[in-house]
Amino acid sequence: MGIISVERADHLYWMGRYIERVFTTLCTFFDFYDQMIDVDFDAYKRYCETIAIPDVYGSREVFNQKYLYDKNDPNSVYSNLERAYGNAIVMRDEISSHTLAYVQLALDCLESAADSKAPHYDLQQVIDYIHAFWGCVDDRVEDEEARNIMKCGKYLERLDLYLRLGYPSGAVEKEYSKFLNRLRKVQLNYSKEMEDRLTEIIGLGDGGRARYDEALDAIWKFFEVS
Amino acid sequence: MSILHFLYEMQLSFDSMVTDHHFRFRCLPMETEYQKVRNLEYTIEPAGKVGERTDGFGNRICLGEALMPHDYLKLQVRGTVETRAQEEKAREDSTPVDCLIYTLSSELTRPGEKLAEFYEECRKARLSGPEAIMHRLYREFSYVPGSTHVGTTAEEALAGGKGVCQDYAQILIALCRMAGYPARYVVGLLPGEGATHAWTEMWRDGRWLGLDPTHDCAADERYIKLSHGRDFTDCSVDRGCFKGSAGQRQKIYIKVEEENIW
Amino acid sequence: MILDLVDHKESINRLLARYGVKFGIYKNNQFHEQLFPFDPIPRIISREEYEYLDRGLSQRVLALNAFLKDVYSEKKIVKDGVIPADFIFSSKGYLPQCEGICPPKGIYSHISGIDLVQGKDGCWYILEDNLRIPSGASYPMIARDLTRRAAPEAFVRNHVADNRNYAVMLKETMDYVNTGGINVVLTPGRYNAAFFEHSYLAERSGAILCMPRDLFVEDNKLFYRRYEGRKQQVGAVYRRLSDEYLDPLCFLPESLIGVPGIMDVYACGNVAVINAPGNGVADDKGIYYFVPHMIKYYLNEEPILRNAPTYLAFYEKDRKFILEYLSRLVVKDVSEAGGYGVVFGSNLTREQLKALADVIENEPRRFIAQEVIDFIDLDIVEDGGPVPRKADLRAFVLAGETARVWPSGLTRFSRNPDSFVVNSSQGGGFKDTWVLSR
Repeated sequence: MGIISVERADHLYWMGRYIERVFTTLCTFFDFYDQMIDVDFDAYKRYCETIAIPDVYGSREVFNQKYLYDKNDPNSVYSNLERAYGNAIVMRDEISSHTLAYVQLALDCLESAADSKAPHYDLQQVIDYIHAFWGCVDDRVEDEEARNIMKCGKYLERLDLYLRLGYPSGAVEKEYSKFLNRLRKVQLNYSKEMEDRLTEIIGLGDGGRARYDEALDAIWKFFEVS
Repeated sequence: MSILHFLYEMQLSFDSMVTDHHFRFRCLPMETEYQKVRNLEYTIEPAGKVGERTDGFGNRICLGEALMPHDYLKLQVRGTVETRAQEEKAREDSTPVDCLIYTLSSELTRPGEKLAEFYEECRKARLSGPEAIMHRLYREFSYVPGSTHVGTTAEEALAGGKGVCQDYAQILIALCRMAGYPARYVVGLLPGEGATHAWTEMWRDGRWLGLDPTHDCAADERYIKLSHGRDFTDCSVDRGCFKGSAGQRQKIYIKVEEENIW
Repeated sequence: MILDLVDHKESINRLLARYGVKFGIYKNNQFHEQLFPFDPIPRIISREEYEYLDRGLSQRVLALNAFLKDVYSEKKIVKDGVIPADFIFSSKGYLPQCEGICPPKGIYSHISGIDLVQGKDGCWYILEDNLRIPSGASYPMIARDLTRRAAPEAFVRNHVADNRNYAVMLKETMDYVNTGGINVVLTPGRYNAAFFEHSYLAERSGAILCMPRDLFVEDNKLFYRRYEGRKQQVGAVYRRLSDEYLDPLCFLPESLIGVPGIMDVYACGNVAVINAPGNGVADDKGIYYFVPHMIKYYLNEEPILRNAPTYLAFYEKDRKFILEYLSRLVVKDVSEAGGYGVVFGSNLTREQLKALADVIENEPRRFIAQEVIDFIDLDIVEDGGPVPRKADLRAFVLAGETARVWPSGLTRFSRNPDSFVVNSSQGGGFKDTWVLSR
């Protein structure tokens, strides 16, 4: 424990990102699902556009099923959770069997939700498991550096989604500062230029909104250091 | 007795940069009963050597690495060896355990139909011993460079009827083993300029005897021995791996001179 | 008390699923992970019986280690005519690349998995030695963790030796041969059948789980590359990939999962490799026949544990016996691994028996034949109640300063009532193995 290779740092970072992607998209999914009941049947189209995934669904019924559970849809919640699992399973010794178990439980739960008569109960459980996962990370992952790398992934992903989903600039600023706080504690290679750009745009508050595309691009390139 | 000065140069050129290059060279002359190494020096560019050890067959391996980006690797070995002719007279006739591995067929020497047929003909003709088998092989097999490759088996080469020293040596090894003699593959150098040579050693009457089927003669004091093994695979002069997707070219230059000791 | 456990069969299996206790199999070239079904009724081994097995198995592993050391150096056992040279040099597991290499502290088989069965006569028979990368210890280890939680009363009343010390034993085994540096578990990757075990043992023993790309050789030493660029020397590698893939410079040049140069680092004594490359020569089905002879030869002791009665077609006397009694024997091809190349004479037609006899006569070196052992059944829980199944035991022997038998083991049972095959890939399951401490 506590000795991390490039490959393992990568797994920790992406585990953080994918877990967070599942969490925030599931929470958002509920909002859009609510609107689709009687406000806007086609809200899912807006949703796809916002988070920049192709709308391959065609109807809200298909969307509700495929976007959540389809193993062959690379953008589905299931696919993202499976990627989180793929990064977690190889890190059992670092994150502990207890922590890994919550990813396993979330995955099994999402899988059974597909055939469930009360999927929303199961989906809530997926969210609960993710909360438990992060709680377990704090208690069971002994190496501070490993925890911080995971959280770098988590907060950068959250920042990305908040920018896309149009969260209030105060919330965006808060997540960005959490990210920077973790970044300072690890020795990951990153682009100072991208950091400066993000700091500038997010520092503008609501005034920076017009430059969010640029900010998303900076997130994309943040750790892409050659 | 003979004194031989030799130079072995090998250059690998890559068409783009490679890194993390690890290599193993088996091209340092062995100390044997018939061969003493008087002096030996070698250089590797752009890296130094890391170490040396003896492999499971008793061959000297030079271990090296070039981790930083590079687009060539050059090895130069210079030395002098003192050789003497093999003894003719027989010794106590027992086969040590270590020889027994050379009685079993290996990947490149596994006999098939052609080898069985050839051996059967030798038997019918009452050819006595490996020398006679070698003479017959020399007559019936043609030296044609480019007709085979390093992975060609003895059986395939014999079926094609032509090949190079590797094929001659491996066919003779297979035939010796069929006749019940432990036999092994030898890589070494011959006087003049050119490439490495390969021949056969077989165990008889308590000692190893070198036979060169490509030239149809015994391996005498003009032969410098570098390595031996079950077949070509065990004696590969260089093996390496690196990171990078570069094409590579290999250039080898060898020169051996006999010193006039009279 | 054990009934407590029976009631918890479902819940324990659910917990095993939660912790990802699975093994992988390839079906039509696709990787699938499967749960390894757990049966709650333990195999119980009394203290006396364990002490007997401990003596017998330790003795066997000491002799096998002495054999490996001898084979890769002086070969006295061959010179003295105890084992024919042919059985060593033509074994697929014999690696001439390992000639002359003496591993740290002279230990070759650090972790040995010895498969045994108990006959209806109560006698234990050795079926097979696994000295390369035996797997399976992790399953009873984690199952114990969960069964103790599920049915504590069963453990209050039955004094069962705690088997979760396997992690400590493993760490001690690694530390003992460590040449200076960290311990790592080297896995070929998550799509390996035993990946759960690799990751679990790394977690429990405090070793770093690493993929081949995390390791590199420099200056004839082995290092682990840290993400921020520093390097950390590795002193012991518990590698879970097989010999031929270990080092592309020494074995298969096309291996992409090996660590280039690791064999030379090992040969020069700069890292311990667990288990030693080349061990396959000692767990070959042909060599199995000679293990009792090895015990006498190296240790000057009588073998404590028996082999299943085995005949070697190579010897004329044995061959005659095999050909005469072929229909009641089980014939094994020594060049095949695992359950392949195993034929029960009783399942063959007259023509098939004749064909098999011909093959044996033509290639006697290739075959051994054994008496079929009628081994005892163990009960497993099915829907209605207990039903009997064939079961074997894989005992784990760890060799450091001495050889020690882990007070537990993997008990595997067959899925079908009439099957003798206990292999997990054939759908069987596993049980915990209790060694009573008083």
